[in-house]
Amino acid sequence: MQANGNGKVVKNGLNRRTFLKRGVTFVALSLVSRYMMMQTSPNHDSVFGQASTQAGNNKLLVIVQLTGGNDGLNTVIPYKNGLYYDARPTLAVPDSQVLALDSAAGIGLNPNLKNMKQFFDDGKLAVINGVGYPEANRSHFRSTDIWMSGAPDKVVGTGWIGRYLDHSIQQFHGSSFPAANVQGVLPLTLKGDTVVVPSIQSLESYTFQTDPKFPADRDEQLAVFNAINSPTNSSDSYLKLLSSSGLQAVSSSQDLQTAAAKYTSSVTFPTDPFGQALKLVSQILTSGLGTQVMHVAIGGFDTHANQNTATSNQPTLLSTVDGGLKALYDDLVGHGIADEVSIMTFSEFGRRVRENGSQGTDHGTAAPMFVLGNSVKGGLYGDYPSLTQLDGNGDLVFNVDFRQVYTTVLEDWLAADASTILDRSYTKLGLFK
Amino acid sequence: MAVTFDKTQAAHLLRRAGFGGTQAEIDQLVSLGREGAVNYLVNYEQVDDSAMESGLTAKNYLEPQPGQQLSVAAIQSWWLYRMFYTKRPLVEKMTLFWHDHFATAVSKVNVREYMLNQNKLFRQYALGNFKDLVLSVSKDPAMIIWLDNNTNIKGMPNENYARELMELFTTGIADRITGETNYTEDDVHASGRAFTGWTLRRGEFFFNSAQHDYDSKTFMGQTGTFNGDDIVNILVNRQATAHYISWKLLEWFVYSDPEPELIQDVANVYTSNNFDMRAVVRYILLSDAFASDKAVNANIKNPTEFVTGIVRMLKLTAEPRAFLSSMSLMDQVLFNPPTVAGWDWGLSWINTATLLVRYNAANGVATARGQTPQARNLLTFDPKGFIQGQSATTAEDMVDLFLNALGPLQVADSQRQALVDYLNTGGTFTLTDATIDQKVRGLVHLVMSLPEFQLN
Repeated sequence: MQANGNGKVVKNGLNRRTFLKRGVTFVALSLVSRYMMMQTSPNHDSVFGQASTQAGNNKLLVIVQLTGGNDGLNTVIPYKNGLYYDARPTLAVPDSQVLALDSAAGIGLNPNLKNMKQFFDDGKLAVINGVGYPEANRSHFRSTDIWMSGAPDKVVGTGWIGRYLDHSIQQFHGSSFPAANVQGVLPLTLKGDTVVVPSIQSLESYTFQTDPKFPADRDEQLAVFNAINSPTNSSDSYLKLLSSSGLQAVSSSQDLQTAAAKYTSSVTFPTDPFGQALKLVSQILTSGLGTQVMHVAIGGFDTHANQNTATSNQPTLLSTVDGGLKALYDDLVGHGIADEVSIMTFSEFGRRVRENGSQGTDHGTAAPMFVLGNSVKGGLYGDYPSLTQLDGNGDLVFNVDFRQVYTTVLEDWLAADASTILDRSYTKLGLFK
Repeated sequence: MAVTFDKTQAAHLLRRAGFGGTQAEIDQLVSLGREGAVNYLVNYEQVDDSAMESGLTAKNYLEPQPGQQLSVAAIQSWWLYRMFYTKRPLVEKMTLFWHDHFATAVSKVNVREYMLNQNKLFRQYALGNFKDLVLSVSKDPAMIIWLDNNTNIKGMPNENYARELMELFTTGIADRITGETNYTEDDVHASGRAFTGWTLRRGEFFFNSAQHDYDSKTFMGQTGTFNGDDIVNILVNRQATAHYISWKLLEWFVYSDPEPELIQDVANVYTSNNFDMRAVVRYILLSDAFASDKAVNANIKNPTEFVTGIVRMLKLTAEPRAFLSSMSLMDQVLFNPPTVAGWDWGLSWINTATLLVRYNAANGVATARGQTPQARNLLTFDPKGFIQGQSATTAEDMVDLFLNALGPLQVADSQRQALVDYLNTGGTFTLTDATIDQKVRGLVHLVMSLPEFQLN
């Protein structure tokens, strides 16, 4: 196998495209059917490689993407370091407002992260400082892909969770929702070679949509859809698969609707889009559909100008994240699954130490990550990046490789073998109880 | 083989050599006859496309807002508009083929102007000479960044481009007919050295002679002080390249796993015409294999074909950005293929998640009344205008009309009957403004949700 980032090259020189064509009589295109195929295909070893058998716990993971490059320095603040105030004449948070996490070290949270501060004090929040990777890329696209794929050195077409799902496929038989993204396009994080992960814009839209002008016509259209996708005597294998996958696409969307309709909650989620997205996350996690990983994003962190005062400014965004995650946590407690869920944040990069001339900050490198949950061992992880020893661009030098965090989550939370997913081993951080 | 070049054959040709078309376009091809129709598509310079070009210019997609850089959505719109409205569909189809073949992603390249210029390069060489195309791609700024040739320097070669040039762009790993291994690691090393110093300066190709390895290299059994040009010349002349390109074009235009004899026939055309893609594609489109039952509807529409086909067949007024989000959820983001190997074709497009998106995109089209706030005037489907002048009045007529317009789609009697019954729900269907706005729109949605509609 060539190490060229070519996602199609599988073992034995058989590429995926060829496999799918050859395997046409076996392959149905839902996860369920792929699982069944794995049981019946004589070649499954060569195709699926080492389908993991060791995975199989019920731990759930919510990944929160702070899109645009969150300013880590104003999120977890070195509030006793004069260099911070020198570099941020208009943007620095006054030390009196910082929510101290470690007063000896002079590290604290942005005042808009009040709930995170409480979680930290309760021992439920891990704050990992200075997370990054070698030769940081400052392009939003590329660095996002690097974080999502877990592969800084090459372009790959799968994500770290997608590969986890591929390796753990036996765990998910029967589920059309082994993982799901809420709102927006499906992130690379969740793309695997064999699993199918949906992106759900809203509960209302994740359905076989019909004309909103004539709602009464819907049942009729659904009945006709089922009729025209019913198995025919056609010998065309493509048609058979298209019909069966189509029927399952619609029926699984109905499963989601049914399960989500049973959802009740005493928690009021914030009315902003992120809060509502998290409500959907909770609805899906609590639905009993077997979903293990959820991905959700909040954008607006690309604060090149007026970082503290613009319409969508960083303090407001942090407050939105803080309030949303508090509601999600409370809802998970209310549903009795808070011990089983961990919530992890990431952003494609942090921002430059020195503010720019527009009261904003430009693309940078290392930044903190949060991991939150009842099963998380709260505290500070990783050394805070030095403000004196910056890289050639005036950016922070990372201390924790993001793949250390992934390895910890994969092995200690999801009980998977991280080295097969990330190509090698990374030192773990001990984030979980 | 004597082929009756009827509407089914003409529609097949228009789907594969383009993105499908209207009944008028199909009738026009039928009237030209098989060879005439293929020549019409292949000799595209003779077709006036000025209406699309001026329409595109008026859209100003490539003029970003003040202070903003050119967006990915802008260059996607620019290309999709061409596909939606061109009268030279084979050019855009080949541009898409080359984009998939020399798959380069904006996620790494980042500079949208480079991506746009690469797209223009693919269009310029759509049916041009393969050797010229490979040479141009080797000097293309987007490709140089994508496969790191800007870091390929004497003494410290970066072999990324050299490897993919063989593995994916010319010979393939193994010969598509004989199965023999096409090159060794030593060949990769030698080729990598030949491309040292092929870099960028001020956004354009620059040969940095100071970083070029002028020493002798042995590549594929030949020894010399090879430069990148020499490597390209050697590679395009390899029998393995003839086999590989022929195989891939056959998979794209005809069907998967083409027979070795067929690959060899096409490879002979490639060689005897000195790598002229126009001759190769013309030969494929006129081949018996192309017209055979085995080929018709043997592929699965990729998302670009799915969307563009709908726009063209239903004569939609469409802003490309109306489709960008759903195309992404169907797993195809133009200018951002997942890897250097391009997109997986065929069944890889289809799963429970992407199918639901296809059905719902179809519903979005069928119910696009244009003036609603949700539609933001991005999309209009006018069913009344569409069926005007047609003699269809009964439910059966209407079903057949759209099975034809969106295909022709060959469906089982039971499927056709279900669609007829849909129109007759609540009383025998009659043609009124009200039934057009409700039932005909619903019918169009359902026809596009047929398994047969996903085929190409």
